[in-house]
Amino acid sequence: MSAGEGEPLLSVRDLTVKLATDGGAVRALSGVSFDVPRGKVVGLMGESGCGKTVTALSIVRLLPEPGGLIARGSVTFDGQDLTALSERALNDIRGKRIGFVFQDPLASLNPVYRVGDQILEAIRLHERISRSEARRRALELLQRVGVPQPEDRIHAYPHELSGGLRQRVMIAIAIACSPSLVIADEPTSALDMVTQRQIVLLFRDLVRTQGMSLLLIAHDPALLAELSDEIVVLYAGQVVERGPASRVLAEPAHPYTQALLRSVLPDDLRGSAARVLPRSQLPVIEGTPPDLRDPPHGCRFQPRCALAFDRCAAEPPSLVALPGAQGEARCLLTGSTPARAEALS
Amino acid sequence: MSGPYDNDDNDDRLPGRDTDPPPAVDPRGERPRPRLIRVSDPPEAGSEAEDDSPLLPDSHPASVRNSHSGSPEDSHSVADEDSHSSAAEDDRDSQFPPDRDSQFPPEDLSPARPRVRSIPPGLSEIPPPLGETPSDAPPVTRGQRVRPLLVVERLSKVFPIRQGLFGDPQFLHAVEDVSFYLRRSETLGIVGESGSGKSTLARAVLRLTEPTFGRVLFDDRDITRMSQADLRPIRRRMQIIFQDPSAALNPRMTVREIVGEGLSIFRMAKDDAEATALVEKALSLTGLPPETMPRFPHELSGGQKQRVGIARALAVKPELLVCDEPLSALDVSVQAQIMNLLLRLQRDLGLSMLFISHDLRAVAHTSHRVAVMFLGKIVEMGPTATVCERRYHPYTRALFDAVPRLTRSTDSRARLPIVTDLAADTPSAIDPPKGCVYAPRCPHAEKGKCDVEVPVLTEVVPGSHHRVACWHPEV
Repeated sequence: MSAGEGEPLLSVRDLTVKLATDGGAVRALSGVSFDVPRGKVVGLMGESGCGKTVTALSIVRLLPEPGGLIARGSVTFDGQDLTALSERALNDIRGKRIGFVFQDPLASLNPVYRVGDQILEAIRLHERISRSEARRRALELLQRVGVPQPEDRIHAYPHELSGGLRQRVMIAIAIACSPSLVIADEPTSALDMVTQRQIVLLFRDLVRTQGMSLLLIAHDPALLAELSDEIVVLYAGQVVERGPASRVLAEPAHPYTQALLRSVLPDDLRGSAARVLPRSQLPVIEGTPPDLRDPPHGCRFQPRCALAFDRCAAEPPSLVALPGAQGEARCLLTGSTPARAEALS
Repeated sequence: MSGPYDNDDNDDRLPGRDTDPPPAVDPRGERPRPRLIRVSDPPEAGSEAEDDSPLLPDSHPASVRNSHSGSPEDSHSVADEDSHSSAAEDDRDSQFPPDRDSQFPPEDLSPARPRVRSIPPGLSEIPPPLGETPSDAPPVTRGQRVRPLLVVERLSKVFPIRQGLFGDPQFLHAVEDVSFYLRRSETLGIVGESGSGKSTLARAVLRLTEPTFGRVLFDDRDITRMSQADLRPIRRRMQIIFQDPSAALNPRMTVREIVGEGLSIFRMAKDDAEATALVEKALSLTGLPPETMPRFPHELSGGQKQRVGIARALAVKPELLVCDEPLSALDVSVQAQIMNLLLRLQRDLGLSMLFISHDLRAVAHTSHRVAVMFLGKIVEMGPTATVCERRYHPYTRALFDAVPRLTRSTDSRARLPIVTDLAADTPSAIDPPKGCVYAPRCPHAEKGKCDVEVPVLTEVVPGSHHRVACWHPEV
């Protein structure tokens, strides 16, 4: 964590969120806590339905209404508790000090307005500047995010742009007011790998040059690995592991993180260096994340866990600190040697 | 510019004529050039498949399949294979020389403006390419001659588009002059960015969209000019699974109805009970329990929906399965499950697959051979292992650079290379570049060469079956 660097920019504590669904209320998040330090990238990792997007939406109180409810916990952004703020005060933060990038730019951009106008709107909503001044800023922003021929593209409608360009426009809108935090929810999942690479490089550049913080949400651990300083792993609405990205990726402590990383295809594709034989069966996590209307007893991962033993179903594990400020993991085996793990099972 | 279909004397160019390609298209200039070998080329003698081909570490599905030919899943394909008499093949073999460059002079590639014409009458009478399986084939039982299940020759798809009410008609070259073959029990991976024509190619091959030029031979029969009625029984044998399972499944139909629909279309079950049994079997192949049958797609997870999509395709016992971005709508953990399923199905049922994806990792893991597409053309094609190793084409290298790396975290991130040639805009498929399609983005493009002359898909090392369309492949 951000030890010694002063206050983290964003601090989420014990966040518990309830969502109304057809099958009754579910607890989408149960006591989620993590920090986003200033100028750092924090990656949220996990499968669909584990609470990544709900976490992002809860931070700025954009949960679906009615039905979404922050039942407990706090979200402290730059010293202010966002959960206690009035809607009006929050509007000054959303879009201005916290920017968003969502998965599908086509769904997030208004199809009947030119992209230039949409960037202008984002700027003029928060800053009292003239239209021509805003236009100049919009051009600068498009250039900044790598849109070729911004003078032409500023007049384009979203459907006239490729997926990669649309996502760049989204990023331009997100950074229009120089926010200190950008929340990007699966920003590259709708894009092909080449475009994904360009967006990754753009984010990396923005974090470095603007000094902004990034909360990056992705299901692909390899994508998080490219950008993250720290990684938070969510499973069934709980943080199951957290720590420096290098440690989480190289020595995952929680069986869920381990299994998730094993199912990633080898990225070094040169013959003998590959981790898995081509065309061999990949190690997978069988089954699906639990139904949160009725989460499993004890550890929530235990029904799918290859290392589960009898105690796992009986006592819910708590987050245990790993030695050497390497983060935490929510597993009864945390800190135990393989031999002890053997003995326990 | 002229094309083979534009030439009035086209018939003169039918196989058998041993004309040299014009010198203007000599791919290597003064240097001694390797012989141009086209996709459909039979290889040199002695280079055919070996059982212990070093390129394919895995045991091959074909042998598995041949060993249990009694099972109902594959009985039809085995029967088909047996019907090829080797005598007939030998006959036709001698009729046509191995060098097919003479048949398709390379200068005909990439017409500047398309001429949307029907295929000249002579072309369809050309028998399919013959000969031994090339060395990049999955190993087959020695002595057994296996003809490709699918041969695609010079396939092009051009979409006419109109800009404005009175604008000149323009043409979008979605797929241009693509040739490849696919053997039984083999997977050919097609990789490229969005807009490269991968999906259009798949649709044109299945005749879900009508190809503009070229032809597709499925099990030796030209399906490009077949009537819809004749095509119908063949449609059963080639099935497709789509990218977004939520969009591909009818939300008003139960899983039982979705998977069973093909059975009734092709009259594969004599009564409802038999249909249900077949649906149950198809579902179990994909790992879904029979309890799934009465459920609707919205009740299923993304991975389960994709399994239903696969079961729907398998229910009619196809030989060819086209997988069009089957993974990109899924979580990484579910992607691995679906990939395992596809690999297992191929092994057990002997399916041939076209595996289309923008994810090089997935293509490299699943495919025996890889074709890299850019702006409607194949720019590199070869056995997966050698393509991964050599990466001749600059675009292939750019694609490899784009693969996100688990191992490139924190400390090493500083060294992350900036891929300059990816930053440029993709050239337009409406007004494709005159020379090499990749030249506008290529860091090695040579003025006066790459932007003028079209490189031909050529074997770099003769006999390697690794082809690249580039004037400066890094050898």
